[in-house]
Amino acid sequence: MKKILLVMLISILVGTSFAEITRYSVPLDGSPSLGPNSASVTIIEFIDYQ
Amino acid sequence: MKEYGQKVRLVIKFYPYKYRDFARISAGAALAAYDQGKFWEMHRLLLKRSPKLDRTNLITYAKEIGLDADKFRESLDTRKNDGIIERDVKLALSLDLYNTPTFFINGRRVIGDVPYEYLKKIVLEELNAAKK
Repeated sequence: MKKILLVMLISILVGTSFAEITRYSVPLDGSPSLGPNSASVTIIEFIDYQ
Repeated sequence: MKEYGQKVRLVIKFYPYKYRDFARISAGAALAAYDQGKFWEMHRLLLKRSPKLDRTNLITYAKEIGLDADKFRESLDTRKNDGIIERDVKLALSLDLYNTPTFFINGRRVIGDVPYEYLKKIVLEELNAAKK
């Protein structure tokens, strides 16, 4: 019984550490942008000026 | 942003809160400046001068950054770029966004006015992941 619990605990820990980061797909649609299209990181900001 | 030069790209989407008086006209002002090739100049000015964003203020800002004031005014008054704003709002709603600012850093969502250091941390993680 203890062994089973240990295996369960390990699989939960391993599972969490490899959990995928959620990534949303957001179309760029030609919105105003700064920086090259080839950039390895794209930051999309939803803004309200007021 | 400037720190990472050629490796980072910033894209702006408009999500004016519908119950704020000048939210939408400000987005329109940014796009009117975009049409004249001065989006970022206007963008920075709007952030700096907010919440003083009524029509008269916006026209003053347009002159300040050297825009053609007549064209700018016409763009505001005819709501020329409303279609773009509407498209962005629809996109925001489809993503269940109810806060500004909201960021997507290579698709990773960050909601609200988080500390700069937190955004930087995620950007660095993404830059490092890209190197591998």
